[in-house]
Amino acid sequence: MYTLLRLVFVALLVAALGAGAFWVLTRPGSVDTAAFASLQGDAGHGKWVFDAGGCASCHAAPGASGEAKLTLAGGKSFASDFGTFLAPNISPDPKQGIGAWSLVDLANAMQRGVSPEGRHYYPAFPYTAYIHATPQDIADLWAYLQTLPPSDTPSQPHQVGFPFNISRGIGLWKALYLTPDFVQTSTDEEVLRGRYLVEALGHCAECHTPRNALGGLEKAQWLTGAQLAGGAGRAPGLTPDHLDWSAEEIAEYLSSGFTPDFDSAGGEMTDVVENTAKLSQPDRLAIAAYLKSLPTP
Amino acid sequence: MKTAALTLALLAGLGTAGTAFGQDAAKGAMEARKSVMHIYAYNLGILSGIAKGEAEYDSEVAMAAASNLATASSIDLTYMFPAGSEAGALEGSEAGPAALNDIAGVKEDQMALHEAAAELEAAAGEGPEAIGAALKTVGGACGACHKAYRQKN
Repeated sequence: MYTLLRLVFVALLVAALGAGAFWVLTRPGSVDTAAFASLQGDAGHGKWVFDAGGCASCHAAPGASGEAKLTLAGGKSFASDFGTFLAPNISPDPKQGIGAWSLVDLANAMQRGVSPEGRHYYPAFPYTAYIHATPQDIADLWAYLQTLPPSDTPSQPHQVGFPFNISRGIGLWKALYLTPDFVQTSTDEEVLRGRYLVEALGHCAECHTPRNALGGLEKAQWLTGAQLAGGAGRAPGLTPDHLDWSAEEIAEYLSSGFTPDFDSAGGEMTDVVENTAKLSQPDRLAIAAYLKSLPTP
Repeated sequence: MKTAALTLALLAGLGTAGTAFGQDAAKGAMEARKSVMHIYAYNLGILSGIAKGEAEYDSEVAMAAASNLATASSIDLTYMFPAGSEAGALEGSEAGPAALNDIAGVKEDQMALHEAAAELEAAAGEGPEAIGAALKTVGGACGACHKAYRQKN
């Protein structure tokens, strides 16, 4: 009875506040600018953030390889149930890229999913993961991004239909799914390092965790494997009941792409291995330690 | 009338046989191409064990494994991706649609593997370190092809 009353009350409240509530609730947020004010970026460490975050995998021009992957011209498309998203140009070009941005602009984009003009980005951009990154890592990444070659290729519009093209709707989605809380808890230092790489920068859950009808991650089924968006196969489960490789074998896979029986990574995962191969072996072992710490049903 | 019925029955029978044959052919092709991959994997396992110091370095074994890999990578895969053998159409298949539509691209990627395997063959006599370095290029070739043409289900 209490619950019912509460529901009625909430419904009345929502009706009363009406559109005003929607407007407030869906307002684009901002990071704490004071946390970024005095930060000095270290481009060297920023390269590590860049590799761990997998920026080039989405923002390099489609088909780019080697050095060309550092020109973040955008253009790669991502099919989904909500439409097709196109990665924008994030090269330092002041007109077509993000060269005219400030550090806080980058932080708001990566950690709140909000553009410098105050518009919501679609969550194809994994800000629900990047929100966990430290301000210092964002500052270091910002410093590194400045060193990359500019591209004057214009960003292309997303191909998204009604109602998903209502930008404020994303605000509502964020109210449900954008949270600074990590999923896995641990006191082990290596697991925590792995957690930072997996949950914050690596955004592994974007493919390896199933989503609900609204496109939110099913955190109760964290990293248990999921159908890939666009119907191109399946991302396997990474919890110990799915993945029984040793920590060394997981690290080897993330370094060379070879599985313990010398099969080799396929599909989008080859891009990921290209990134994890650039991390240190302790980083890869930390990712393995984190995966091994995950609960099994 | 009887003849017509018999003809129909015969045609229907042929039709069924045709479908069964098509599936068998697709399955056969999948098994053949997977066998080639297994030959790659087995020999890569030997060489990687040596490179990582898990197995003792025996130049003869290393050279035989590298030579097997190079030989296997020269097997022509062109006719091993027939229609109906792609992921979704055939159980156990992991061939993405691109593999069937762009066999020339598959062949090009396999050529890159063959070249990397030839380098590995040259390195096999030089010791674990040289093998490890050459294995990286081979792994890159595996990944490049799988990225474009393989689909996990």
